[in-house]
Amino acid sequence: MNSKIKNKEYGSIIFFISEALFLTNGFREILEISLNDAIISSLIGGIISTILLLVLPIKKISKKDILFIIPVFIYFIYLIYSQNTYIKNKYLVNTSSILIIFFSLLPVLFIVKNGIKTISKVSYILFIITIIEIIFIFFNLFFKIDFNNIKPILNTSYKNIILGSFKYIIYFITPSLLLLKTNLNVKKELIIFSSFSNIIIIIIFFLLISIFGIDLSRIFIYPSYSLMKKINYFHFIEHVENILTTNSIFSLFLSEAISLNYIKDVITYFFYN
Amino acid sequence: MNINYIKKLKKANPDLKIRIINNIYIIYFESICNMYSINEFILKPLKKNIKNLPNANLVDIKNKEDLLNNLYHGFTIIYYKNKFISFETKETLNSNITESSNEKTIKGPKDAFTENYQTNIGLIRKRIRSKDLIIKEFMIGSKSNTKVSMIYLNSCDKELVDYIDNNLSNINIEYVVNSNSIINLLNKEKYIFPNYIMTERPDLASFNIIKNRIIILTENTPQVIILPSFFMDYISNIDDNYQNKFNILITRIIRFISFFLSIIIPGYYLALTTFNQETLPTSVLINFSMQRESIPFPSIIEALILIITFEILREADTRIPFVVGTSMSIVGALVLGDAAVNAGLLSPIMIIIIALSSISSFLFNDNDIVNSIRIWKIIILLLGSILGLYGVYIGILLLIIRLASMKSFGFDFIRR
Amino acid sequence: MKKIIIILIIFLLCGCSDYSELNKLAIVSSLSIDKKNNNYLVTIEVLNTKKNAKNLTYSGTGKTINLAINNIQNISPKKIYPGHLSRIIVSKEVMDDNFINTLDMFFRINNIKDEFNLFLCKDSKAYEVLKKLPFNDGLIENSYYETSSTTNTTLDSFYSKYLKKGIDPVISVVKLDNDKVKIDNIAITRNGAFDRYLNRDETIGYNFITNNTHNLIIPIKTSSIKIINSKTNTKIKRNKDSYIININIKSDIQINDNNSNIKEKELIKLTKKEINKYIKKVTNINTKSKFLGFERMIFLDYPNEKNYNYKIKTNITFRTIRKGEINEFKNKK
Repeated sequence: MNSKIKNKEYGSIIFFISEALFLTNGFREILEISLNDAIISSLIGGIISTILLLVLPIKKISKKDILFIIPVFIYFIYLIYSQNTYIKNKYLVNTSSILIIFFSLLPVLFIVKNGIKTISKVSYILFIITIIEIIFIFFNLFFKIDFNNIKPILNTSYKNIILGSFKYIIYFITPSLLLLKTNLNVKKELIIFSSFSNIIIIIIFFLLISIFGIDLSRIFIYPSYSLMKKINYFHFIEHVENILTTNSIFSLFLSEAISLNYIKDVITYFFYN
Repeated sequence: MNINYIKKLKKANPDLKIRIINNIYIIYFESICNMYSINEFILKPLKKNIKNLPNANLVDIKNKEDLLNNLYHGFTIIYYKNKFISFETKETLNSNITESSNEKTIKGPKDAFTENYQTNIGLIRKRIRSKDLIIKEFMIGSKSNTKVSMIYLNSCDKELVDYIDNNLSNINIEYVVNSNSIINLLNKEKYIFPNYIMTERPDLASFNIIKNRIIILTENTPQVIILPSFFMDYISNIDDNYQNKFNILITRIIRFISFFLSIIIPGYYLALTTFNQETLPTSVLINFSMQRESIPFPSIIEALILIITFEILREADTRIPFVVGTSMSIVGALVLGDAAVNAGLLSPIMIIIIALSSISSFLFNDNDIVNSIRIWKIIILLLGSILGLYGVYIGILLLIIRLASMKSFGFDFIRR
Repeated sequence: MKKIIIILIIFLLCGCSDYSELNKLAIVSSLSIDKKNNNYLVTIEVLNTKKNAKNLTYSGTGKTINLAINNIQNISPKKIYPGHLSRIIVSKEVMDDNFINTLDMFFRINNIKDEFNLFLCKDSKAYEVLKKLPFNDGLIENSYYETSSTTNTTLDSFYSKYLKKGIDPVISVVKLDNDKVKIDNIAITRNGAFDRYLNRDETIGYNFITNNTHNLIIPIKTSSIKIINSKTNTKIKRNKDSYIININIKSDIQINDNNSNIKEKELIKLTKKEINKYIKKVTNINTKSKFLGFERMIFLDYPNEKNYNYKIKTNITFRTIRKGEINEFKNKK
């Protein structure tokens, strides 16, 4: 009667938690360091991070994990803080922070009460919604590319390019290594879903540099949000950036849910053993 | 136990008749016995002094409980030489098999379950003629003694069958009015969405039996309960099996979209016009702004007034008798449509939005689903009026989490 | 029970300070900036939501543009809402050295579209042009597409061109003509400040070089040729110490009318000559502004070069030649 967690549902969690750090300040920092060659450093970072995911193991909860409660808790507070800043900057300028934090925590607490099975199911559903929206976004933005903005290639120093890919790898890998603890055999699904995530991040870098040019995209605080402002269907569907940034909201929500679930699992493991 | 006990019963029950023929006492309840069979098969032969009475159902009575049980079920008791025998002479007090009034069909069979227990079982046996069909009967209700049965195929999940079996045997209730009382006792968690199906159609019931589910039939109720049920069952209809597959795929997509549309649209419209006005194109914005020029209410109050009025209309529709119906529907249309807009109290666009959302929710024939859509609609509307688009997203997340964590008798609610 | 009380309290706390009704917003659609005695004079045009009424304008002055807009709030009865801003008109005095810094403010406004149009007004005050502006978004699109005598300047393209190395942005010009607003070619800038106006031939040459031409009508004696869907490709080749810039223009042409009865081949030759004339005129302008962007083209392919000597070669091809419904117009003579 009780069904187990399906592999693909658990794998879809990694799609969201690896993107969360990029949306808060990853895009801005990598653009600042690698300038025009952010595409090349993200390509290198993407390939190396996929290989690292293959090699490093994912186990179930053990005694060593109690050491990590404090870093995970700090990560959780950081996510709430950056979500609050993001919403106050973009959507609700005059509302008080307490209200925003209270309502942001409502679904997180609700889902952690139900456990990891609900988190995997919800993550799979949100993944399907996000893929449909991404097709909608990229289809229109591809017509506005100007390839001249990408040149000159390889004009930044090699040190900066490698530093950029290093930052990419750290932003990508750290949440999954820290938070995914299971005894399912999900290697194949992890590779598939992390490739999805990598491809989308690389495409966003490409679109940012080729549509805005490197000088303008460096100064944006949230570059992916400003990218959505350019979507324009028939001069009627404009300004849909508020609707299409559900990707950011879902990533932040799922990362908070997984962190809180990790803390809850480790504490129950220690109480019953 | 002798005949004096029965003569005492006659004081409280004026329809208990006692006839005496040749020292043989004939006792029956006139309201539930078939007079024709009593006359033909009992009184006539006794008058002609024939000793062997032709009847298929003859029971020897041993104690007081059996005597009362048989009397209340419509049997005739014969008392002769200190022995009680009972004959089956039950009157059938039910309607014929007619068309279902709540679940319409275009191409399928038009018969529906009735209040008679044996007829219902017969309608199912007509469709599944196999030895794998298992029927288990229970007698529930200490004072009402209603027959409740559980029908399933041999290949059904053993754990589920044992679970329902145990729970039905342990029900301790005095009266059973209809199937709803039973399902409330079986269902441990209280959800807003229903996790069982109640239907009047035998083709839907037999279709579900073949899909390894359990059916619960109650006496005197034309609705049977199907459990467990999943989200896809509310999106699909039994009529889909009688039509072209590719067209039905598109219809199912439309139903799926209308489910979410009817929940999200009022809150979404409210968030777009009061918090994030830049999402609307400029010409649309001017049009909406012109319509709101003289309205004295804020948008959220307007939306709540309209939703409550719609629900009042819908509830009144089910209670009003048919003869008075037409003039009241004209009054309803006038109140909501013309008069409110002309008086400058409501804006036309809000009426369109709320009407669209209500009509989309009528696509589902189960009343429980329509009521649960109504609650979620109001939750998302309130969240949208506090936090705008972000509030609507939080409401959508809450809805998805609720649907993903629901269980229907041990199975997950959302499954392929 | 406790949960319900907490939720109710939270509901009551929300003054809902972001909640604003539609009919209480003053929707700004255009903005004009003038200079008056070292202060900025800002006029906004607000859409009127009553039926068949003209749009309202309000003005305010202040030391900075932001302060001026804030002062308008003292006049306007509704709350100023800049989310649907679509045009900005500046006058010549504003386009001095500090102009590019004044654009900083428009990037920071929340929830605004970056693609609103910039205009420079010639020979009149900006607020006079604002009062005569018709409310239709096609003010510049149609003339840009059909006559190719202007460019579609948007805020982010202006700013990103300014930031790029080796290219300067241009701005489109409007002027008042008998109480109606007329599009009047473009003006070029240098280091973000105003440099000079261009006339029609130079504008057409500029549009050809920077791939901004769609349709265009060229007069040849008394006939007119229409150029349809033209696209330009520029390639750079190195030639010892200097560069050769190849400009390849491809388009369709249509013979709109052939009054002077010129033969077809002759017509095509003359058209190519005309286009070359336009390009020569614009490349011979004596200015330090890098509005044509040749230095940037060299920088993109050869990023480490220091000298920028170049020669220009044009190469024009016409693909399909349309004549309309008739082949040749016959006269009695």
